[in-house]
Amino acid sequence: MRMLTGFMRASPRPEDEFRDLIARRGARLQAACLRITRDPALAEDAVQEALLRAWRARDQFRAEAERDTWLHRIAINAALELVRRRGPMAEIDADTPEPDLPGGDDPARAHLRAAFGADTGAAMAKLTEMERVCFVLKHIEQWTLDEIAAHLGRSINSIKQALFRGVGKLRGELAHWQEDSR
Amino acid sequence: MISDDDLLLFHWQDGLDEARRREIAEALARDAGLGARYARLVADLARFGTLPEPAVDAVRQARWWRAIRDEASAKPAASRWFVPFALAAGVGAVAIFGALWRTSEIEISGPPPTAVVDRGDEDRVARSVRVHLAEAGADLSQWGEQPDATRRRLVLRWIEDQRALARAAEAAGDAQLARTLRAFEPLLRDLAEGAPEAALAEREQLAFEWSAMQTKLAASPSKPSPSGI
Repeated sequence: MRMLTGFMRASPRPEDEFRDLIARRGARLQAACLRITRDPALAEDAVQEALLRAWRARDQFRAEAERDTWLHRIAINAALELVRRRGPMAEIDADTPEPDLPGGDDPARAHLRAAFGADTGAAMAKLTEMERVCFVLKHIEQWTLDEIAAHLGRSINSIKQALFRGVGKLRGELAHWQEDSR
Repeated sequence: MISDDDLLLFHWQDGLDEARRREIAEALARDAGLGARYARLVADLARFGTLPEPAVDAVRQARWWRAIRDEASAKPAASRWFVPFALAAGVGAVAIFGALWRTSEIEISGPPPTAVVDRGDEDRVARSVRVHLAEAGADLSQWGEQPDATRRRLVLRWIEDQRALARAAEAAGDAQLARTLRAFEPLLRDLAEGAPEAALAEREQLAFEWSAMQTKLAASPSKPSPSGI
């Protein structure tokens, strides 16, 4: 019985697990949603929605890693839903300030990193919403073309074309980093 | 003629049929110019894949936490009064089963029971591993800019994640993927404890191995282990 009570004491409360989850994954979830929405408030809403859904389904997960992956996926879905609600041709504020980025020990590298972050943000802002969302889902989130097409209700060919245009634009906009960063 | 668009799909291992993939692989092997073009594309994509993450401020974290706390207090989860009883019953059942098993040990023969594995579990685990590797790879690429405490925390998180994924892989019947994930642990421990100059070689090895693993996981389903590792 002592072993049993010891085990029960060792198991963290779900609330504590979620507090830890927010501390551990919050930035990554916010970043993922921000790449989709380009709107910090919408990204925050998407993360909150995903966390609440994960909380409600907390008993269904067999492993922490499985819950984290699922949480990431539903956060992306929530962000996509919010973007959809905003409307397909909604104006996006290209001047949205880039979020504060964690620096590092080396000021020169931190400066370079911030500069690259700013340039990347500006380049991403020049993509259409379709190009940006497809690029983020494919390259960053590693969805398959089939999944993206199904989720966005488009043909695979139109997803491919959006990706080709998006990557072409990004490479053009960030070409100077090919030399500068080496 | 192989365009950058073809190379892009080739890199992602998605959207090309098998014949076209083979054709591009052969062309890359014999054409240095095409190889250089592909290397530039891959380098650009690697940079785009390491988009920086925002720092999440305490206020935002507190808002998320408050939403969960409100949810928890508004709708308390199914009362957990039964948990100690269920655990005690579980322990009792294991003890009884153990005793029965010992008494009938001699009569047990034939192959061990095969675990029934849900194919969806394997896919979920493989996807989890791919996402983990992509995230860890992105973190690793920014290693040099992180303070020591952050680096150590990162490595501990990778170890923790990989252990959890290895357990999930095992549960899904993919022992090989579980073994591969566990095999990273000594390297990760060296990285956490090693001198900065030694860390460079370890980081390069880790980046290479993670990348190779991601490629294998993303490969076609004709694979020796359920996950393709």
